[in-house]
Amino acid sequence: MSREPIDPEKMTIEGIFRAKDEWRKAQANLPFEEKINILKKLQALAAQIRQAERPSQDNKK
Amino acid sequence: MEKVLQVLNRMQADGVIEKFAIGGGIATIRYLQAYFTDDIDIFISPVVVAPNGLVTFCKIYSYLADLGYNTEREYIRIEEWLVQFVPASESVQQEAVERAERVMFGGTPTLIFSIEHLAAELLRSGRMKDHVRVVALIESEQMDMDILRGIISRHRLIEKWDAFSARFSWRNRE
Repeated sequence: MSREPIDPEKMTIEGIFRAKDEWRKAQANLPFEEKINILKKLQALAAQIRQAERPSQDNKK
Repeated sequence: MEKVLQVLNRMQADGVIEKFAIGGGIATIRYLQAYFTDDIDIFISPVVVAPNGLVTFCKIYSYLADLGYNTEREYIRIEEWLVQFVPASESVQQEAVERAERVMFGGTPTLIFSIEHLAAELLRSGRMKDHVRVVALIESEQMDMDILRGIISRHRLIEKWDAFSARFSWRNRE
C-alpha cells in the first residue's frame, strides 16, 4: 500500500477511492489477533462515550 | 479473548457443549477490517430442548456460574467479554458449526465459521447491516462463490439471495 504524501494537484476521485480500498484491504489482511486488539480499543472508546453521556441523560429525566 | 476460547474448549472437553463455532461479528472481523461489536456469538449444536419444549441453557449457565462467570442481560460475561450462546437451530447454522474452520488464536485452537457459511448465515438473517457485510465479504475476494452457491441451494436461501441481488444489483456485477 502506498504511503506517499498525496499531491493535491494530482488528486483524482478514482485515486481517493483506490487509496481507501487499499487501506481497507490492508486492514483486513492484519492478523486476527491484531484485529481483535483494535476491537478492544474500539470497545474501550465506546465505553468512555457511554460513560460521558450518562450524566446528560440523567439530567434530562 | 484467548481466555474465553480456553473456557469454551474446556466446556467442550467436559461435555457441557458438544460442538460450537464462532459466528457473527467476531467471525466477520476474521475476514474483514476490524469494526465495533459488543459480543462474541457462539453457535452451539445440538440444540438442547427442555421437557417444556423450550431451548435450555441451564447446563451452560450453571457450569459457567461455578467458574464465576455470570449473566449480564442476554449475555454471559467471561473475563472482559460478553458472550452469547446461540442455538444452531437453522440448517445453515448447523452446517456452519459442523464445517467450521479450526484456527489458532495466540496459542489456543478454536473454531470459526468459514467465510462462505458466514455469508450464507448473514444472508439468511437478512437485515440491512447483514447484507452490507455480505457485500464486503464477497468484495474481499476470499470467497469461493461456487461453495457459497452450494450452501444457498442446500439451505433454501435462493429467495434470500435473489432479494440480496436485487437490493445491490449484484447480477450485473457477476
